[in-house]
Amino acid sequence: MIARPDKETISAISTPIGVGAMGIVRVSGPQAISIGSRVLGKNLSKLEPRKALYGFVRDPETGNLIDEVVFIIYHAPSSYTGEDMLEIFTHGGLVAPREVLQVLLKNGVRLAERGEFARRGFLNNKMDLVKAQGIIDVVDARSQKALFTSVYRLKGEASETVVSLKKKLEQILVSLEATVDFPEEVDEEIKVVTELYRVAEEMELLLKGMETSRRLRQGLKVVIIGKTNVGKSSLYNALLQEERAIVTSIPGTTRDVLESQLEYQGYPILIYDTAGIRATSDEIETISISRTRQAVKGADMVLLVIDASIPLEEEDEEFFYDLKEKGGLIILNKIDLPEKIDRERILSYGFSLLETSARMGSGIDNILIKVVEMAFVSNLDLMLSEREANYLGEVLKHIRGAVENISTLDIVGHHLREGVTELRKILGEEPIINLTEEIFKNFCVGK
Amino acid sequence: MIDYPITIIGGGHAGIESALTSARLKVPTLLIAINLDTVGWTPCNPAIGGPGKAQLVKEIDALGGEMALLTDKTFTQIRMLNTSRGPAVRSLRSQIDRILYHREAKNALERTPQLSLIQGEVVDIARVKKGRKKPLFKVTLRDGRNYLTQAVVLATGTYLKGVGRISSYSYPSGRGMEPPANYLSNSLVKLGLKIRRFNTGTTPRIDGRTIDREEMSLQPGEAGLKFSPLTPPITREQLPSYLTYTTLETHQVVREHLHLTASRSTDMVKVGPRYCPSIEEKMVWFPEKERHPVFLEPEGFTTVEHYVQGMNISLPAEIQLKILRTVPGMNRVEIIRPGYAIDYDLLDSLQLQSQLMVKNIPGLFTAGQINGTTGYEEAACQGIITGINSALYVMGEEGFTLKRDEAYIGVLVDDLTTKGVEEPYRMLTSRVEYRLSLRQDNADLRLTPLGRKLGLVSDERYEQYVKKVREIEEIIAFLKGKRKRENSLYDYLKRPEVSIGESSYSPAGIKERDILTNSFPELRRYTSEALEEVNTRVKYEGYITRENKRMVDFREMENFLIPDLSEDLIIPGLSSLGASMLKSRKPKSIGEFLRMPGVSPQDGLVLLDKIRKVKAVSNKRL
Repeated sequence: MIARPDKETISAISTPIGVGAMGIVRVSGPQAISIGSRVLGKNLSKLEPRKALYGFVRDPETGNLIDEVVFIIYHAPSSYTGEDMLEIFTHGGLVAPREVLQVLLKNGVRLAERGEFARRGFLNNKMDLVKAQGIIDVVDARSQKALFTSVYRLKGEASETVVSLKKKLEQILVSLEATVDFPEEVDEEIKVVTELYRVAEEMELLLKGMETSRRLRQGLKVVIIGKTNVGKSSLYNALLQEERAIVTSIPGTTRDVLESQLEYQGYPILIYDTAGIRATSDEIETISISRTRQAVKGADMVLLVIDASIPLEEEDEEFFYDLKEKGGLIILNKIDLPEKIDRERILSYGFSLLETSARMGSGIDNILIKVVEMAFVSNLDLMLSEREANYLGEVLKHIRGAVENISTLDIVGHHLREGVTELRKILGEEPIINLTEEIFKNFCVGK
Repeated sequence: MIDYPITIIGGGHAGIESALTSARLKVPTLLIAINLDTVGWTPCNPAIGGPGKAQLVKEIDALGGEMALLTDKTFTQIRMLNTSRGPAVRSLRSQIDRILYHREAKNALERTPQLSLIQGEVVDIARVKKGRKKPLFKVTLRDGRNYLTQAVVLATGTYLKGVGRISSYSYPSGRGMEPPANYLSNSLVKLGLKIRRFNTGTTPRIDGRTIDREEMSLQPGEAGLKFSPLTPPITREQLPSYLTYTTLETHQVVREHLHLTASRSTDMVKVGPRYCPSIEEKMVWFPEKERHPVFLEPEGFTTVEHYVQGMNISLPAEIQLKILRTVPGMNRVEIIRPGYAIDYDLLDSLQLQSQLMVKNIPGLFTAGQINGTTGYEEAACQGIITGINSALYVMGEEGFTLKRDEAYIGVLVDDLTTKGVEEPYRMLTSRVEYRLSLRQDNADLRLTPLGRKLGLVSDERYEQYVKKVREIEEIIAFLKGKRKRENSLYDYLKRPEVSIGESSYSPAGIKERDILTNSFPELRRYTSEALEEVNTRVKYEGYITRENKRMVDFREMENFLIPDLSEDLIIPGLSSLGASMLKSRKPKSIGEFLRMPGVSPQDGLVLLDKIRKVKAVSNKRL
């Protein structure tokens, strides 16, 4: 007989994205404890339940630190859903809860459906209908609005892209199903394969659009880097048009990474000021340097500040690696002073170069214009909610899965069905396509 | 005085399986057929199997049914379709000798103890109550004989008020030139059943001596294949079929005579199967197609008659000939029997519960085309279900249901009884949610234990099953214990270029295969069925696990049973559609309720809550 494993373990961010000082990521299901143990790096089944505990979420694959968290373990049936549960309290803001969720998703949990926690709780007798209904109503109301706004947002080119992607996937699926159900009369296998490759390419493009969408949602992360005392904090303040960072001329003043949000022409930008990097034995400075490294790692783009009033140093050139990897600009600062920099040498690396005097406030607008131009260029003006972006991410996974298994149509069919279901969710349609209907409509089958 | 506890009306594929099944469960069974010389007839295509259908045949076999054995005994050709498209869609398809199949089917019925056959036309079924708990039925034949019975299985095919049509010429017909059953539908209406009407059709039969085979492409059978594990290896020679195509000229002639087709020149209903369009319909629905395939399939070893697959037609006979002669290879063809359309009465399958018993007439079961399906396999699998359930009913035991996550049969029955059908229903692999798990090759693993528990599986079949299970376990243990490079052999087998045995179908495009039975000869002592099962399990492991998890969610909803709620119970919060579905269709479980058209997830929750409260109250009373 077929083994009957347990129910799937689900997870979702339970707090509104980007609001509040804390994010809560909930996990529920039979694997909540074991997956939790993996990402928290300790055996949760041995820890005391219903108690706030302290720990670190890491990506078990890479060992990278994701966030410093507080978590609570619940054992079934004493939990909100009646199942084993884990609540992880992350740092607030846009990034931390999402990254914790991503690590969980990577380790075997499934993204919860709308109202699924409440539903499970209800099914396990944890709440009565009035309560469950209240929760589901709120969730539904939110999605109603989301649906409205997504229809509104998905106007024009972007909506056409998603709708046409769905149509194409459905067509491929229908061709595939007609082929396997009527192999003697219909042979669309070559069409299925070629169309699938085409859609996969298109999907990768859409992914770039999603990147734009993420930046619009969460803000573009721009990290200012450079050796000490080149005027990074002055640039930071000039960009923010306020004295946010402490600007002094003592090298190494900025010890922590500062974060500020600004909006330029409606585009959200997160600016990070970092500690200048230099060889040091100062312990605090060593820590701040490692924080700088981390900020650079998470950056969408870097601004490398170079002092134009002194010759180019090896320490400047060390940042060229970051610039190459992350993309961005070289900002020649202090151009109000006599110039000693070798511009030719910088240009020979192929970097874009803008000049400014952060102290005088000149050239700032040009930087912002250029940043927006570089980061938000996309023919897809696609604005997606977190949930929609997650669904699209799933679609992409399934398209890749289909391409990887191209030689077995039954598996391709599985992935296409799932992919179509996700796309239908984005568009607020019935999740299941009536395949039989479509096959008969599109193919002359039958004997 | 009861004559037979169970009476089956109809000797087609549904009737046969139902009768054999209930008799094998040791309940005396009577089968009444209008013509015993055509029991187990295949009036349309002489073929069994194909995608969706092969899975049904294997499931019937796994439960101890007859269809696979009959097919193995009588096929003229067998092939595997979708070989390189993955095990979940791989499907056996066979062509059978029509006469032999009938003979073997009749023989199977005759040699089964507890089973009696009579010939006659049933004209009336009436409920008789004589102070008993369970009502009896009186089944009356046109010749005056009548039988008192506890359970009736209606398996009437296209016989109920059947009308055959060739253009405007129409004639009463059960199928071919056989008489219809013209009185029974009225009796069913009297019992309170809702009657509908469908149509279908078939192709001309032609004289194989008048075709030019060299103008067509040959489609040979494949050696070494069979449906049932109980069938010993088959070595008989197979007959090829032939493939040709219609031409623009064919289409021209069809178009010129469209107005003469039966549905346009008579009052015939137009609710036919869309996956089996007539050549006339093909012209209208797919006008841009330049050609349609035509398969010539032999009707048997001892006849020249051929079935003209793809040429289902109801135009006048002389036009049929004109059309056929435009097809390459058929320029001098002669028609032996013209194609015809047929329309017939059937029941609305939403009147049934999941054991295929009519909801408000306990003891009355229906199977096959009367429920809106088409196809021999679809009919036969319903026969198994009615056979089991009529016997359990008579014995006073709880009914037997297969669920959507257990079998193709479960999907078919659930579709019929919760969604209903708008056109003749054919099984397709794409209707099955858990397709990767429900395969033809593991039908025995899935269902034979269930059949054994019911008492339908012979010792021989069960021993084979036990052996297969044991071999699978041994092979898996072997693979896990051996190392290949840095992995276990089990993980190594997951690579696309590796397969377990010589006969494993490998995905397209793989040139250099690594076959494990070559490097590990100890694997050669296992049957290829066991090796193949392991091959699929290992390669599809991740997908099957995922499907199994979905099945758990599905099961949860299926297991929330809906008790008998009083008719006038008002459930606040239920949508009007949900309320009407609950009242009219009486779903058994929340899962079934949720699959009904128009029922929202919210309705499911509201109903669940109500059930819980009702239960809480009744518990308090206890």
